[in-house]
Parts: sequence; C-alpha cells; structure tokens
Amino acid sequence: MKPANFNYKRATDLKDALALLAEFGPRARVLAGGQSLMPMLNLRLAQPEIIVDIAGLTELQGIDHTSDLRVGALVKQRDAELSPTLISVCPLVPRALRYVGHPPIRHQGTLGGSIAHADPSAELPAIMIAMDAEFVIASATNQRIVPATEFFVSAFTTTLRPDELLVQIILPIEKPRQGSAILEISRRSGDFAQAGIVIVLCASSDGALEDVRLVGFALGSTARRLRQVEATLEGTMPDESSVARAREMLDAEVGATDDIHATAGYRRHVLGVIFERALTAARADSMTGRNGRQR
Amino acid sequence: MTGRSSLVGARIQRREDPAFLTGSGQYTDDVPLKDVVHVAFFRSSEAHALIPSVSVDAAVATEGVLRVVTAEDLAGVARPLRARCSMPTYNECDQPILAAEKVRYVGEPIAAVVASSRYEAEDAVDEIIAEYVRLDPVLNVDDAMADGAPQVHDDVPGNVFFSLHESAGDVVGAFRAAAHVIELELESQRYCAAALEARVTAATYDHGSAQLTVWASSQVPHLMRFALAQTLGLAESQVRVVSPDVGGGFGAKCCVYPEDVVVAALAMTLGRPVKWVSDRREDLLTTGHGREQRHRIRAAVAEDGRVLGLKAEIFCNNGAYGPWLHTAALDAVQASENIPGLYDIQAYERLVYSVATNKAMMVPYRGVGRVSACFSIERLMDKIARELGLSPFEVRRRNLVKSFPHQTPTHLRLDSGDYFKAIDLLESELRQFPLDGNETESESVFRGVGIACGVEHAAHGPKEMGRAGLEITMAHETAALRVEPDGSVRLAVGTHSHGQGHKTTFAQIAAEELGLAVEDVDVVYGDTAIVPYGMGTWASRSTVYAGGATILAAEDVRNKVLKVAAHMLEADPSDLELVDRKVVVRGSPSSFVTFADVARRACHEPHLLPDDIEPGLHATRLYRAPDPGTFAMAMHGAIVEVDVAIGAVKILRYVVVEDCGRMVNPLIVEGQIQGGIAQGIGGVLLEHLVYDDLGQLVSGTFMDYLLPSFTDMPRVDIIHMESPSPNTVGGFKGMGEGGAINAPATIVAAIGDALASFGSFPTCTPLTPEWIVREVTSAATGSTNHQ
Amino acid sequence: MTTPRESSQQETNITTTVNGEQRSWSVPVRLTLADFLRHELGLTGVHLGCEHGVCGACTVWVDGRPARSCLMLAPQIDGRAVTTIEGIGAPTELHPMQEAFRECHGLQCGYCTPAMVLTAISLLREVPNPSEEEVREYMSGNICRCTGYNFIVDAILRAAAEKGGLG
Repeated sequence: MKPANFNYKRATDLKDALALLAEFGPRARVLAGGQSLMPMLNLRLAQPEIIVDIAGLTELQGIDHTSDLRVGALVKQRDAELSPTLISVCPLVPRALRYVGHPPIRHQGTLGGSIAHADPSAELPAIMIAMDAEFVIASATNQRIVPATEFFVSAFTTTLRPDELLVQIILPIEKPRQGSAILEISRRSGDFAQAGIVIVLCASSDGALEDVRLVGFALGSTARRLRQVEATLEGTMPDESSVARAREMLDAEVGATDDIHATAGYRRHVLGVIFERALTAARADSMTGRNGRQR
Repeated sequence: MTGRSSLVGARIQRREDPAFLTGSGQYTDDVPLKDVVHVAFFRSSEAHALIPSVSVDAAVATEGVLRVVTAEDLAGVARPLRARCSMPTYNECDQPILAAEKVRYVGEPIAAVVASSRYEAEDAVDEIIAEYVRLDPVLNVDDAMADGAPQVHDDVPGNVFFSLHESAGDVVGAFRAAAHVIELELESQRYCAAALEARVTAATYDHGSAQLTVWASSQVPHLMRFALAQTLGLAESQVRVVSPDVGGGFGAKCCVYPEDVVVAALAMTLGRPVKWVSDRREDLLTTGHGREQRHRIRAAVAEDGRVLGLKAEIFCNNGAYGPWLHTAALDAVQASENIPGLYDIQAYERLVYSVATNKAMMVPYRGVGRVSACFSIERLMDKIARELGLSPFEVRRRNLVKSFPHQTPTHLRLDSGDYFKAIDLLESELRQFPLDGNETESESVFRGVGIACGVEHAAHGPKEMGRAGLEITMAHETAALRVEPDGSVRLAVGTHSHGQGHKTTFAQIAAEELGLAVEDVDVVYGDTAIVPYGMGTWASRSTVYAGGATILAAEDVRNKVLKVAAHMLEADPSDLELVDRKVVVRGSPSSFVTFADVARRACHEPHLLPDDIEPGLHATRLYRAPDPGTFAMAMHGAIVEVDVAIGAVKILRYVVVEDCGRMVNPLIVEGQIQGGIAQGIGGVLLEHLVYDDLGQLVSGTFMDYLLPSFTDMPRVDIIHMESPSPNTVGGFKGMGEGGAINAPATIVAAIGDALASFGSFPTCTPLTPEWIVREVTSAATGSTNHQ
Repeated sequence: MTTPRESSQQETNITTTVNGEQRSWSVPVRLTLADFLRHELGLTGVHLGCEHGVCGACTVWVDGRPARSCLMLAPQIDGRAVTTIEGIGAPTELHPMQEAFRECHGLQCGYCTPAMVLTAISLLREVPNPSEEEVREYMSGNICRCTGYNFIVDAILRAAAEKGGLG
C-alpha cells in the first residue's frame, strides 16, 4: 500500500506555509503529524495533487499562558497530555488525550491536526466544543477567530477554507467549582470511539448544576452540543429523576449510525450508560477543588 | 541418559534471540536481490463474476512498468494449482494462477504488474480496468447448498467440496437408552491468522543452469518447491526454495498460493529477480482464513450426566478453493474427528460438509478443526451440567477417559495422561479466586468462571495422514547431523521454525545426547538446497518428528563417538560417557578425550582409525511418528467480569493445566500456550472477517480487523504435567496449538456463566459488546438474541 | 534501490542523521520513511506490518520520539535524527532492554521485536518505574501475534527494576 504520486512542498515558516496555501490551497492537503493523513495516503483513499508539509513550523509549537491560554496547533498531543500548565488549568485536555490512540501515536500527532481532521469519532473536537474553545485561523491575508461550536460542519469537514491554516487554540481556564469528564466506549484501548460523551459543568454553592455543557461524539456526522439535555440538567440538583429525565432527552436528541462494529441502537444505549457515569464523574470533579485535584 | 546434564527440559534462553532483538533477522523482504523488480496484483472487486475482458494498455504505459500479465500470458507457462484428494467424496477443482474467465472471491488475482518499484506497480494497477458480469454470490453454507444455488465451480456439484458420513458404535442404542437428549447449535465466525509479516515471495531464474530460486515466507519450503515444479513444468531438482526468517505463520503459510506461482513464472520470463510483498489489505483479503463453521450436536445423556452417544453435523464454509496442499476437507474432517475430545464416548455419528462459497479459501489456521470441536463438546458438557444441576467439573469427571491407550470412535488413540489429576488441579486453582459480587464496584458487573478441556491431536502419523487422501503424505522427517572436524555440530532438519525456537530446542536435544553445550549445535532449516527433504512446520509436528529424527541421528553419532573414543582411550565403549564436551571413562575423570579430539580423529586422521571404523562423524536419520499421532492435553479456566451495561468483558484470571509429554524447553512451551490463548481471545472478543451481502470484505484493514493487544490479554498461570508419550522417540507430544484450541470455549463458558442469571447460554462467537448488551436486554424483554 | 532516478516523480534532497551517522540523500517525495530506511539504507530491522499505523511494527525514533515510520515521508526527516533498532545494542552486546526480552522469552518470530524494544525504551525514559497497567497502556499500540504479550510485560518490568540506566 504505497501513496499515489503527489507534489511535495515543505513550508519553512508560517508565512511560507500561508503563501503556499494561498497558491495551492484547493489542490493541496496539509501534512502535520501525519497520523490521520498518512494512512489515507498509503491506502490511496486520499490522492491529493500537492502535500504542504507544515511539521517544521516552530512558531506553532508553543503553549503560552501569559494572559489567556493559547496552544500552538502543532503542539504534539503527548506534550499537551503531559504539560503541567494544561494539567493545572485545563485538565480536560490531558484527560481526553489519554483516549487518543496510544502514547507513541500521540508523540507525533498534533492538536491542530486532529482538530482540523474533524473525525466524528475524535475526542479533541468534542472537548473543544464542550469547553467553548476558540480557534485562531490564519491565511496569507487575514486572521480570524472561530468558536469551536461553529468550526465543525460535518464528518471530516470544517469551516477552514483551502487557503487557511489552524494556527492556535485558545483554551478556557478552568473555573473554580468547574468539573469535567470524558468517557468513551471503544472496542480496544486506543481505538476509535463508538460512543463518547464530554461533560463540563459547574456546581453552585448548594450543589445545583450550572453551565452544563454536554457534547456527544462518535454518533454520527459530527460532535455537537446536546442542548436539550443540557437544558434538563441546568439548575437542577441531580437526583434519580432528573438524571432519568436527562437520559430520556438524550435518547430523543441523539441519532447514531451503524457500522460493522456496532449498530446505532447499541451506540445510543451505551451513550446513555456513559452519560450517567460521566455526569457522576464530572460532579465529583467539580467538588474536588483545585487543591485536591489529582494530577 | 544418566550422568549427563539435563538440557532437555531446561528453561534455556533462545539462541535465535540476539539476532531478532538487534534487527539482524532476515525475513524474505530483507534478502538483498540485485536489480529486483516489484509486483503488484490487480485483484477482483467482485465476489462472483465473469470477466469477459481485462484492459491493461494504460497500465503498460505507466511510468516504471516493465510488464503486465494476465491469465492469457501465463497460459503456456503455469498450470493451475490443484488441491488433490483421493477420498471418493471429495470434488477437486483447479485454482487458476490468474483468474481467466471467472472470478470467485473478492481479491482473487486477475493481473500482475511488474515495475521498478512497488509504488509504480500500484500506480499501474490503478489503471487496469476489468469488465465484470456479476453473478450472484453465495456467501453462507445454507445459500450455497440450496437447490438451484449459483455454482462456484462446475467441478464441484452442489457447491460441496467434500462430504462424509460415518458412524461408529451403537448410536441408535445410545439414544434409545438416553435419559436426556440435549441439542446444541454452535457457530464460529470467520477469522484468520494475520501473521505480522504478511506473505512475501521473490524469485530469480538462472537460464544458464536452468535453476529457479525462490525466497518465500513459508512454513513448507519443500512442499512449495514441489508445487512450483509441478505448476511450472520443472523438475524438482531445478527448484530451490529458501524460507529465511518467517514473521509468523500459524498455518496460513503452509499452503502455496497463486501469487507464489506468478512470481516464479515472471522470474523465468523476465530473467531478473522479481519480488512481491503482500500488503495488509491483500493479506486480509486473500491469505487463507479459518474457523467459519456451524455445528449441530445431539447428545444422548444418561441420568448421571455421562454421554452415551453423539451425533454431529458439521458445516464448513470453505470459501472458493481448496488450499494447496491441505484441501478443503481438512478443517471439516478434523473438527468431526475431535468432537469426542478427551471423553469416553464410544457411539458417535458424524455428518460433515465442506462447502464452496464466494469468499477467500480456508486454510489450516492454528488449531484447525480442533478449535470448533473443542468448542462444541465443551459447550455440550456445560449444557449438560446446567440441565442436570451438576458442576462443570463434575460433569466432566463423569466422562473423562480413565485409562490409556484409549481408542476413540474416530480412529484416534489417546496415548497417555492423567486427566483426573489435571481437572483437580484446575478446580483447586480456580476456587482460590473470589467470584462473588461483593468485590465488584457496580451492579452492572457480573463475574463468571468457565473451563474447557481438550486434547491436541498433533504430529499426525502416516496412516492418519494417508487417510486424509492428500497428494503428499506428510508423515516423516529427516535430521542430518554432522560433526565438523573441530567438534562443532551442524544439525539440518526439514521442518521450519517461524517463532517456535527450533534453533534452541533441537540444539538442546542434540547437545544432550552428545554431552555438548547448546551453543555447540547449529541448527539449520529452510533452504531446500541444504536441508533434508522435509514437510515443514505445522500441525504441531516438529518436535515429535524432527526432534525424534534428531535423537536417532544423534544416537548414531554418539555410538560412533564412543567407538572412536574407545579406540583412542583403549577402553570399552560401555565404560565411557559423553559429558561436558568430553568422552570420559566412567569413574575415572582424568581419563578422557575431548569431543573435539574425537571429531578430529574421525574426520582428519583416518589413518589412525581401526579398519572397521569409517572416517567422518555424521548421521542422517528419518523418523516416522507412530499413528495416529500424539495427544497433548490442556484444561483451561478463566474468570471474567462482564459489565452488562456496555457489554465489556475483562478477563481477570486465566489458568492452564497442560500436559504435552516430555517438554524440551518449558519457557518455549509457555510462550506457545500464551500466544495461542491470545489468538483465542481475539477470536471470541475481537476478530471477525465481515463480508457484506455482495461478498465484499468490510473488515479489510487493521482498523476494522481487530487484533488483541496488551490490554486485552490477562495474566496466564500455567501448571505443567508431564505424561510422556509412550509411542514417540523422546516421549514428546506436539503442543503448539493447544492454547488456540481451548481458549475460545473457555472464555465463552466464562461469559456464559457471568450471564447465567439472564438465562444466557452462548454457543457462538464472536461475543461482541453489542451481543452481550442485546442478550441482557432481550432477557428482560423475553426476545431472542440474534447475530 | 526501489525507484529509478530518471523518472518524472519529484525528488528532494535530505540530510539526516541515522543511528548517529549523517547522510545526504535524494529521495522520491512519496517514499515513506520506512521504505527509505529499509531499502535505501538497508536498515531491514524496520518492519512493515500494516502500513496504516495500527500495528506499530515499523516504529523508530525521530528526534528521540517514537514514530511509526510507515506514517512519515522520507522528506520529513530532513534535518532530523532517526534511530532504528540497528542503533541499539549489538548481537554480542545487547542493550539491557534487549537482554531483558531475551531472559523473559519476550519474542518468538521476532517480527514485532525491534519496534517493541524501541517503544519499551521510550516508555522507561518517560516513566522510569511503570506499573504493569502503565506498561500495557503505553505498549498497546504495538501488536504481537506470537507471544500473547505477558512475557514482554515481564521483560519491560524487569528492565525497569533490575537493569536501570537505559539512557
């Protein structure tokens, strides 16, 4: 299984990369960590005319917490997973990364690569949506910021234009009494998820749920906020009946697809199970507080 | 054997390892070939179709391409493969080297492109266009055997490659006397060996000497040589096959495939080295598959749980061709033969079908029919236990064979063992692990324990092999042992290690016999120009066969060493012993000659030898293992935890009590068991070659064909027993497949036990998470689970 | 060589350090790193098991990080350093990890072994004293079809406990 022919252009820096995309965008695929694109090239599922290799762009490889929290798109997943900064102020990212493939894959895969690839079963798009992260997108002539909630259009499709590059991810700092959890079901450790859920929430002083964000992934065309389910939980003290109501709403709101590993029915069923487990975990996380947080 | 250090039975580190660990192993694609060109195949995208035309012009014009061949181009060059079987109920058919008018499975090779690189060859393959006239495929046994079903082959009427109906003992009487009649239908999915090194074949032809040399990742170099000679119209002496290091085989590489012949034919026509490296997609598509069988079992059971008689109907989904050389009968016959297992059941009727379908062919994948046989008889035992309120251990005790040798109703003869001791050991090991729910964290988690017992019929003897009616009766091995003038030893055998550590184990055997160290013996295999004619490594035959031949050859050499040394020491041979690289007068340690001294005398100083001793120090001996073969035994037990909310299975504990007779190297024995268990776990929980309704393989890469990984494998505790074979030289029994034979039944039993409160009694694989969730849910609603 | 020089396929020049030795090479741009190492440099200890990044048999180190060489293009190692199994130990002088594998029977056919060794050394560099669970988790991207994994786990734990100084 060898790649078909292509033209290869290696960007020397960001300016160069954006100039290449300005010229070749529609005919090109961007190569970063390669963990998603290379299998497709080898299998000849993707046969782009041009490959623009951005792996060497050092400008996009930093984690910056001087004011807000900004992570370069080419930060390796493994580095993000082990970053003391992220563990401390944005722990959902390291938590989610533990589900992404295996450590050796995370040593090469990048945050931006996974986000731009927009695989419906991927964890990073889901947590970005849940956290209301923002993406800094650059072209040769422009720079814009797109909220994660608007970035993912459908399976493997984002709002990125052919001449644009995702360059930076703006992450929220975790608030006091905020908790999060991510759970997924997969056939083996590190496999693509069959159903996944991300929950970010705050616990008010009396324990009621606030600012509930729920994202389901691996269910269909793209990860998305499950706003109706969120609404049933918002402001409630989660007891058996409110959780049951939420679960019913989840069943109603969520669709899923069949594949050879599982039917839509199974995926929706286990989604309900992990939803409850994730809710418990997120609540417990919100009540642990920053001092007692496990690293 | 007194007075010598015991190398046989020692846990010795392998001699193979330093090379493998440092990347200096040489697998077939590593063999340097000057100016080699590369092959890529254009393969059928239809499961069943006529191919009126294949257009290769654009491919020929692609950059880097030297040649594109179709069936037409090979017509005068290569004959089809044909798995021959002399059994009267077997229907043979040809297997084309490149498909000519018809394709019979997705992936069947239609054309071959030769180019400067594999990259360019694949570019050219993309340019080939075949015209397909689609025929209805038959993909399962029922459809294939139905009246009016599309015929896969004209020569295979009713799509039945093979059928067998045999009865032994008083089956009618058994069912009349039964207090209970218990019926089970069992089904296993199609999965495969998926060795990490996919197939590789390279060839070169020297016109001057008319010699064809083939390098292949094969378990059977001599058999491949025979097949190539036959299909290409060469004398066998013109063909040399070299199997270097092989990255796993598990039975899938003991066949000869069309690609092997194509590569050899291309080498002959192009006059330069030609190589084909299978990629993973091709491998999953076409390297032989295994396991897809359906069994219907009926048992006549006495009040106390003894099985009085059995009836088995066995349907094997064989795919489109019978594999060369083992035929489409092997899996089905072997399954049916082994249904009685290690139980004393004398009345047995079997009806067996091996059916042609439009899928890739079935090959003897580790365990072969013994896997599904063990599955059937062990699920039956558990069913009897459940119906009669017995423990799974007790029901088995009431049926276990008590004394040896034990003749089974299917011509097998269990040789030795202590099954009662084994099951006691297993039970006591498993009882130490808590099963009750107070250990589990959540109310959706259930624990269960399952066991499975089995024998591993291995090292099949000549009559046994002969009964299979194969073209070659593969029932002997030869060892050529040569002592070099400096005392180092070279042992050449016709088997072919592909992970089993023969460079170590056979060296242990020879060194022990000759009083040497393991590192003094260099074991050579795999090159038909160098080693004696052999049948390769499969069916767990090597230690018995080649090990046996090694013992015989080493004994001959030993006797001669004693004679020469006796002459040198002016002693009687019976007063001498071989120990620590010396020949010593017993009781007089300072009176000795070194082994090297003896070698030098024998090889380089013949003028000093007495007239009745010939120069040289070597022996070549052949060993024919006694019929019907050997019967290692294993009893597996597993404790699992099932989270029924999501269908996840965790194996908490896995125990094996095994008896493979005299062990050569327990470390290697344990490695084989563990590896086999991993494959069994894969077969129950993960691995499935899924075909859609059009016969397309949907699980066509490792993203969808799921192999067990580090996190899927439990710790395995292994307890060894040693009941030597009374019949084999050395007392060895073949054991390499046992792990794969027992594991599926063990894990299914454990999951079934965990789900017992839901009324579940699984008799199929795979047990996916979805299957488990449906089982539990349908128990609540009263509906039945279906795959 | 796997590809002819006078083709219309684009080529590019790379300078790379492989197992400590600097090399300059002209490579077709679509040549994978695995094929470059195996066929251009003769480093056949790099093995191909799937070419889609699942089995891990092609693992090498690129700038010290584990990388699946089937998922990299040869041009991508320009200016970078690559280590293959040939850069670790020698048959007569095994690296402690290799020794541990041998002691524990952590290999059978040997095909997955170079990648296992490299990945295991990476693990111990990141987590010097891993639990068994951590070993399994880290290694779970490397498939073995022969051993059933347990003896490999033993080898890695032994290397961590007894051998130290993996460097």
